[in-house]
Amino acid sequence: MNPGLRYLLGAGVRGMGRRAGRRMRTFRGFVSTAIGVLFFLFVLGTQMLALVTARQTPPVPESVLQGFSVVLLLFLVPALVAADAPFFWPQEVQFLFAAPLRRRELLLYTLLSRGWVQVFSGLWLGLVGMRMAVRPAAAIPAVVLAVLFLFVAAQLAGLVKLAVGDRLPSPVSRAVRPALFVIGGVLGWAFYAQVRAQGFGPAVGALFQSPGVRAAMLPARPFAEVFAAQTTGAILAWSAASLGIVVALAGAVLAMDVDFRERSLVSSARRFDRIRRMRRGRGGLGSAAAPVNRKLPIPSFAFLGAGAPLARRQAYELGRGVRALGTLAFMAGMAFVYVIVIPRWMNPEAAGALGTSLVVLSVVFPLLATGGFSVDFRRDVERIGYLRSLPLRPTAVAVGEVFVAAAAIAIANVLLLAVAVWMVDGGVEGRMALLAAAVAVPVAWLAVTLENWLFLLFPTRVQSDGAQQSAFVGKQLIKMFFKTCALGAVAVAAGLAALGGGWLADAAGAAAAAVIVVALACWGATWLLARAFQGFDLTLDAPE
Amino acid sequence: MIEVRQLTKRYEGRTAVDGLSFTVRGGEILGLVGPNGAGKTTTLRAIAGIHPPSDGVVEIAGFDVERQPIEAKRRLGLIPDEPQLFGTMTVWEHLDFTARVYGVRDWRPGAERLLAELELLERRDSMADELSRGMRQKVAVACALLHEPQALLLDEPLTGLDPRGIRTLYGLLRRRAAEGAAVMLSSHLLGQIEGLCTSFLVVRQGRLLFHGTRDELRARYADEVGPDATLEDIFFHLTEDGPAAAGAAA
Repeated sequence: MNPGLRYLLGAGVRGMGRRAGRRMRTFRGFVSTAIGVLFFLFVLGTQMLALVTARQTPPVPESVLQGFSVVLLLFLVPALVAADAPFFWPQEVQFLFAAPLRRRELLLYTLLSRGWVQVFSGLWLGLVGMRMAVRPAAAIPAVVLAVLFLFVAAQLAGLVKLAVGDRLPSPVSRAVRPALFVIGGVLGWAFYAQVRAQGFGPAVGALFQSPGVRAAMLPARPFAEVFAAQTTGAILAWSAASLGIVVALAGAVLAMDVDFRERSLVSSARRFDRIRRMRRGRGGLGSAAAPVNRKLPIPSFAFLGAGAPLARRQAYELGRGVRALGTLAFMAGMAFVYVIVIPRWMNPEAAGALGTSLVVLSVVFPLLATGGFSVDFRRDVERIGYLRSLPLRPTAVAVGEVFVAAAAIAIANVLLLAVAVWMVDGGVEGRMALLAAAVAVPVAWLAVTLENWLFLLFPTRVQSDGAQQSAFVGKQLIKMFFKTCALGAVAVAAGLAALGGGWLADAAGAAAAAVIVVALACWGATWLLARAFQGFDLTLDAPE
Repeated sequence: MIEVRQLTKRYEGRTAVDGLSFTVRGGEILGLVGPNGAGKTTTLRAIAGIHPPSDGVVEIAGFDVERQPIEAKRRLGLIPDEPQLFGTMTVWEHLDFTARVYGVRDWRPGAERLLAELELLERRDSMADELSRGMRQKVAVACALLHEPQALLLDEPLTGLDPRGIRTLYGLLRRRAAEGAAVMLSSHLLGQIEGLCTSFLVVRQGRLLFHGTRDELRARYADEVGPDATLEDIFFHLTEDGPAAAGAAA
C-alpha cells in the first residue's frame, strides 16, 4: 500500500480525536456528547442487568440460528440491490484520483478506512443483541463480523454490477431493473396467496423451509453459527470461518479489475450532496430529491404581515419538493398506526370508543414530525445572513420561516383525527375528540417553534455516523425530552388555568382561560425563536 | 509537456469535450478559456486522469494517462477549482501526506519555502477546517507544487485569492514554467490571465475554437474586432453566437 494512503488512514483516526476534542471544548458540544455517553452506558448497564437478573434460560440455539440468518439475509438483499461504485469524499477525489495510485490501492484504502467504522457500528449492535445470543459474549464477534460481511459484500456487488453493466448491451441493462421489480412483485403476490391460504405463521415457516430461501441463507450461516454457539470453542471456530469469508470477499474486491472512477465520481457526488443536506439539517429523505418545477396556487399569506413573503417562499419549496410531503405522510402513517391501529388490533375487546388516543395522536404526531420535516430555519441555515439583512423584525422572520411547516403539520394532524373518527364509524368520546381537535394547531405550532429554537441554539452539525454517534444520540434525546417536557408544562398550565377559570366562572370561562394560556405559550415560543434567530452567531455557527 | 489528441468525453448522451487536440510544451503557460459549460473543467480532469476519456489520448511527459497512469500522474500537479482539503489535517500534514503519496524525499525544506512564499508558515499547524477559502486554495497550490511536477493544471486558480496571493501564484507559475514545466490554467478572469499566459485555447461546447499565442489570436481577429481589442473583446466575439464562432469551429 502506498505510504501516503497509510498516513491518511492514521490521520483519519487522529482527526476523529481532534474533532471530538474540539467539540468538547464548547459547552453545548460537551453536553451533547456527555448525554450520548450516558445513554450508551445506560444501554450497556440495562443489558448487563438483564443478563444477570432477568435471563432464566438461554434462547433455543435452533431458533437463534434461524432468526439470525433471516435478519442477516433481510439486511443483505437490500445492501446488494443498492450497492454502487465505491464512495469517495470530495477531498479524496481531489488528492487521490489525480495521484500516482493504483486502483487496487484505492480499493484497499476504502475498505480499511470505512471498515473500522463498521466495526464500531457492529460493536454497538452486538451490545444490544447480547441478550438474544445463546452465549452473550458470542454476540459481539457475530455481529461485528456480520456487519463487516454486509459492507464488503456490498462493495463487491457494486464492482460486479459495474463490470457486468459495462459489458451488457444498453437495452438489456435498461430492462434489468423493471425485470427485478416484476420478479419481486410476483414473489410477493405468491407469498400473499400462501398467507391467505395457510395463515401468516405457517406461511412464513414454509417460506423459510423452502429450498430457495435456505440456499439464499447459506452465506449467512457461519455468522449465525457464531451467534448461536454454545461453547467457547464453537465461537472461536465459527468466528474464524466467518472472518475467512470476509477476508475472501475483500480479496475478491481487490482482484476486480474494474475502472470505477467515472461511476464513483457520479455516485459519490450524489451521495455527498445528500450527506451535506443532512448535515445542514435539511433532512436526507425529505428533501434530497430534485424539486419538481410546476405552477402552484400559493396564497399570499397576507394575514402574516411582514413575514408573509418568507412563508410564501417556504410554501413554494414545500410544494415543489415532493419527497418532503411524502416524508410527512410517512410519519403521519407511522403515528396513526402506532397510536390508533396497533392498540386496537392487539386488544380488540378493550378497544372502546376513541377518546384519549385521539389526544395522544394530536401530541405524538407533531413531536415526531418536527424531527424530520424541516421546511423552516433548518433548511435555511445557510441563508441566516441573508434573512438578517432583510428589513424585517426578528419576530416576523420567525413567523414567516416556521408558519408553513406548522400549518402543514397541523392540517395533517386534523386529517389524521378525521380518519381515526371515520375508521371507528363515529365511536368516539365527543369531549375528547373536541379537545384533540382544539390542541392540534397549538401543539403543531409549539413543536415546530421549539424544534427550531433548539436548532438555532444548538446548530452543531452532527449526524448519525460512527464518529459522532454519541453526540447525535445525545442531541436527539435532548430535543425529544425537552419538547415533551415543554408541551407537558403548557398542558399543566392550561389545565390549572381551566380549573381556575371554571371555579371563578363557568365552563366557557374555563375554556377561555385555557385558550389564553396556550396562546401565551405560543407567543412566548415565537418570541424565544426570534431571540435565538437574532442571537445566532454567524461566525461560530455558519456551516463550512 | 502535455499532449492531447482527439480527446472526447461523453456523459450519458451529452458530449462535454469533442475531439480536442493540442500540445502544451515545457515553458509554455496555456490559458484555457471558454464560457460556462464549455468543457474546461472536464478537459482538465480528463488530462489529470480523474475522468477516463471516452476517446482520444492524453500524454504527460510522454506517458499515456490511461495506460501508464502511475508514471504520468507522478509528473502531474492539479489545483482544482474548489479546494477540498482533509478537514482535521493540518497544513503541514497535508504536505507530509502529499510527499508520501508522490514519494518525494527530503521534502521539508521545499515545503517550508512554499509555505513561506504563500504566507502560510504561521498557519502550518492549523487544521484545514480553520482556514479561509483563500488559505485553503494556497494549501492546494503548495501540495500541487511540492513534487515539482513537469505538467501543472490549474482550474480557476484565482478564485478566493487576494491580490497578493494572485501575484505570488503568478510568480510561482512563471518560475515553474521557466524551469521547464508545462502549465495549463483555466480562468474566467480573462483580463488577469492575459498578461500571464503565453498561449490560449478557446473552447465552446467542448470544441476548439482557437489555439495559438496572444499575438496570433490578435492577428487573426484584428479585422473583425479591431487592432486594440483586448483578449476579453476577442473572447466575446468568438464565443457568442455569430459568424466568428461558426467559422472558428468549422
